[in-house]
Amino acid sequence: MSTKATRIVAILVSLLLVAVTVTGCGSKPNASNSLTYAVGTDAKTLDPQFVNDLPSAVAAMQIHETLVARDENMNLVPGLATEWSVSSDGKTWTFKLRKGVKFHDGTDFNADAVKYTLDRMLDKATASPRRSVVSMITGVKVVDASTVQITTDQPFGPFLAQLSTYNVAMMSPTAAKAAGVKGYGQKPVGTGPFKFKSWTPGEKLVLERNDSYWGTKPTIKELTFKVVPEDATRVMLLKTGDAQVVGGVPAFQIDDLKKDANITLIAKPGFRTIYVGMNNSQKPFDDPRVRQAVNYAIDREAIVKNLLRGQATIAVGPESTTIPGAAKTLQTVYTHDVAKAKQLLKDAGYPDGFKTVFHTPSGRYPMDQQVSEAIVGQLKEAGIQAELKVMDWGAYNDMLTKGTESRLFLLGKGSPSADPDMTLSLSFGTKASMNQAFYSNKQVDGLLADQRKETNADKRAQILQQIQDLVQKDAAWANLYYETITVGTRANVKGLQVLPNELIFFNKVTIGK
Amino acid sequence: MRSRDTEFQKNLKRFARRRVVVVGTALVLLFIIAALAAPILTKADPNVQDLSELLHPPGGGHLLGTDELGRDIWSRILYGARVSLLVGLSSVGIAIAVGVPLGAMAGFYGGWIDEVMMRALDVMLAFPGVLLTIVLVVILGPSLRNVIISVGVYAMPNFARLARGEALSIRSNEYIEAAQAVGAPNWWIIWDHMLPNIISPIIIMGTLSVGNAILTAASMGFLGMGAPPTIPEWGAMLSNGRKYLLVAPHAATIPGLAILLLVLGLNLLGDGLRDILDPKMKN
Amino acid sequence: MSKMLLRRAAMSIPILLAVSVLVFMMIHLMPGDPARIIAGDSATEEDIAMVRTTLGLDKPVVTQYAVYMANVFKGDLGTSLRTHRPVVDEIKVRLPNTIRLAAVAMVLSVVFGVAIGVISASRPYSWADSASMVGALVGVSMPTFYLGLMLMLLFSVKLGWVPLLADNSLKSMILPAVTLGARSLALLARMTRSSMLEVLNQDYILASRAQGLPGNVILYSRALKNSMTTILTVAGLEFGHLMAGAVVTEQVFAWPGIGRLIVESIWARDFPVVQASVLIIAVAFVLINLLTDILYTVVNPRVRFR
Repeated sequence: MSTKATRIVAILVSLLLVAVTVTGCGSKPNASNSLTYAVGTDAKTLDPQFVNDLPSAVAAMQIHETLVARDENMNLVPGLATEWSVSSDGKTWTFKLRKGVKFHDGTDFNADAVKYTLDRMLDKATASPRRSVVSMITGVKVVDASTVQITTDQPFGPFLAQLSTYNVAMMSPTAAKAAGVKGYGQKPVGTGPFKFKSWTPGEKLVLERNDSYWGTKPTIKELTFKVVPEDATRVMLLKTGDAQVVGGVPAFQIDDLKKDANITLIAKPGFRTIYVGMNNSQKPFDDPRVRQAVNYAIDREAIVKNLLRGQATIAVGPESTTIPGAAKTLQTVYTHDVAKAKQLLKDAGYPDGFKTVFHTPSGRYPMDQQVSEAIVGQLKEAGIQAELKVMDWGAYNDMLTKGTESRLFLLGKGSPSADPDMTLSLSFGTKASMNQAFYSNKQVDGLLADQRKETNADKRAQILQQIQDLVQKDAAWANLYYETITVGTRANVKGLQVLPNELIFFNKVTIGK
Repeated sequence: MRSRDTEFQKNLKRFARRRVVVVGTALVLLFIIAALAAPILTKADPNVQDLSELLHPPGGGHLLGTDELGRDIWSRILYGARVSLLVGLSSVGIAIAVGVPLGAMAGFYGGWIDEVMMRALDVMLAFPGVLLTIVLVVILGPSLRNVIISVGVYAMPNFARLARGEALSIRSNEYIEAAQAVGAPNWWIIWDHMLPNIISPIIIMGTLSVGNAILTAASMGFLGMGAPPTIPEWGAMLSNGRKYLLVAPHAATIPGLAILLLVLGLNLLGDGLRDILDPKMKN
Repeated sequence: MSKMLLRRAAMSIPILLAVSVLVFMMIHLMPGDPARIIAGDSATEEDIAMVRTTLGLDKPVVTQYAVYMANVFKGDLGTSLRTHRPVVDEIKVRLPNTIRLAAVAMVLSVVFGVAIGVISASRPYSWADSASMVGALVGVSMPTFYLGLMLMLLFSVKLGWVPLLADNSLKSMILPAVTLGARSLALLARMTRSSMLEVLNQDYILASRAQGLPGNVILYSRALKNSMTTILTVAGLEFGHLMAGAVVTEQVFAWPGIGRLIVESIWARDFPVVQASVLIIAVAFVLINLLTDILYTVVNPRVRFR
């Protein structure tokens, strides 16, 4: 190359260096008392009353707390309320509140704060998308600074479970009034072990230790939620140590990660059921025999063992067996039996099977599209020719709600209240909002109403068992499996709490050498 | 007659002399053969799953290994060549079929027709890059046909501009007036006089656009908006495979390489054709 | 000249208005009920209806558009349906990230693209020229996401040279910028080479060569200066494409830019955010094209007399 050309190249390269220096350099903070948690999806809001997705719930629940809490085994335990009682007619609940608790802004946590929080959620002007969680409340009365009385329109069996959901977490009245309904989600002030520091949407959320926390004070000074949508990238971050905790570890990485001495995997059977929904209102799935045939045609074991690498539990019914009050076993069990599936199809008038469509989301649940693809393959063996269609969540949701195009579809359901009532009612009640299967059974509708009014826990459990048996016998869905929650941590991270409802708590975490 | 032969031979020689063009042609032919002869080159059904043979590395019973559902990647690559070529050719076909007449009309008639059409194109071009394609696929719903349509719409303005420019330049020609004088219909005039001039630039731009269309369609597959999963589309294969980048890099690397090689072949070919057919570029 | 530019500038207003109508229409043609998506998984029908009313989604589309545009002219881009944050805030966080990435990618591609083009043109049909040009073609043919993944696999995972995550450090910007800029770099290299060769073949270069000026001076001063118009035009147009192309790159590298915001918002049917972000990109695109035209006339004064 001639010297002139070299000179031009040199000038250009130095120009580049200048430009690059101007854009600035940064440094990576890496103190041992800070922890980075890599998540796939950013929180949408930190206002508990507007949270309706898991990533937001996990973040909001580091900052806020509920009156009634859940321990690691999902038992109801005292949270911001230390004790409670219910009147003999089952309609008035009295809560004794924890004393000496302050919100992060210094406001006292007391009966007024409880009243404010509940009233705000009940107020239609707030427009909380989860208002239904508390809509049975007719009044909140401040008895004294540390006693509050809540009345409901009728006896409500799962009331404590409702109060333990993240939506009903207590917020500082001072901060909430100042920020307004739209602003609070970006400036949350609770009583939790961590307080809000900064949030760069789509990038990271930074929380810092609440030094005056009433419970076990965190040892971590700074907790960062880092948004990393790519599964593989999240795992790489854990391997390189750039993140100490990583959620949603893909099944396929597990064998590889187990070999790494620097990494610990926490696996916890979760609440989420993944199921194949069937549109009960459309031919041929209006015939229970066809729905049962689908149930028999699916090889759940192959899916769980091979595709999910054992990171799931084969389903017995619609509600995960780890949910308190959910049935452990049901009368009807569907095992992989192609011959039986074919027989049922023949009985229903489809000796040669039939053609249909199978809709699936992609990336909504771990391995969702792959599981759907596998099921389409398995259905083929029983003579059901399903055409697989992938849709983005918005269109998918819409299509399922309209119910004219939907036949077979893959869906998941969690359990925000950790009680079978909420999701059983929403999924199997006639015309309920999560009933995309268009299942309708008068007996089930009656039982769903009965269990709500039943305040005797044992009797209520019996009714719930009956509902689950009925639904399983009718084969409203083909339940596949309950997801296992897999969280990867660096080996020196101890004390992380992972709950079956996918919430994670960091206040007891210690980071060793 | 003789002189035309030598011109053709000259072109052919020039073609053969440029090694890159030969390489490009060979690459494209290779993929066309792969697409046509897929059933001969592989016995494996691209959609048959084997849940006990997931993410098997290349070698053994599977030439290029298996994917996350135990499907044979070699056969998915072969059948995928059909999909990619189909998407590339038909979307560019749509772009030409719609864009060229529109552009020709705008250029030939001028006036408000031209103004309206050109401003409409400006509006389309103001949606930069893949955004328009993404939005269209979401509206139409994800399917191979809709990806083809959306990619075609995205490529259309280029052809419209090309045709308009050509139509503008011939509009003032005397023989057009002559043709009009003898009562030849306008569409015939456009067809008869424009076609010979426009055919080489369209072939060049078309070849290069096929490559671009394949890339755009693959991006759609990558963003999860492409063809349904049962269709072995390379972009979607790469997108699904990227989850296993750490444990089974072949699942993402191989389809990516296939896209790269086919598009490279098309670009080399398009470049070569430009050198040969476009007189402005001849040195 | 300035008259033409003014006309062009004035023309961009109706174009952008048309774009806004088109975006609004297209967004509302997307299947999916934002109220249902926003209300989330375990919402009751009552919850969903409340969300719909609160967000004004129960009104006719034309009314929604009118309300929206009226607010836009008041400087209010609306509120995100998903996060309840003002759309302006959402964009304020994301847009600079995209601009920064596109700028670094632009600088990379101009510097290396022009350098490669100059080297190639100085020794046409040499070994270095062929290698550069084949390399450039590979760059044009490479699927962006594939390049990104492979760079990540090699430099972050296998070699550990650069961090995986964007942390605002320059180091962490290298891979995304290279990925994003590869295509423009290749295009610029090809353009530079061909336009320089074209200029070099022109008569006046031959004439000045005949006058006895040293070959290299002619080659680099005249040819490059004359090629500047082409380079500028291509670079200007490419900057717009870089900003839009960031949609895919940002996805691969988890870069918190506006491209990812648009994709996420499309999935969530967060209409106000999609609307505003697409409009902003369109405005940027149109403005950049206009600027390119102005620069073009400044660099190449001959255009003025045409």
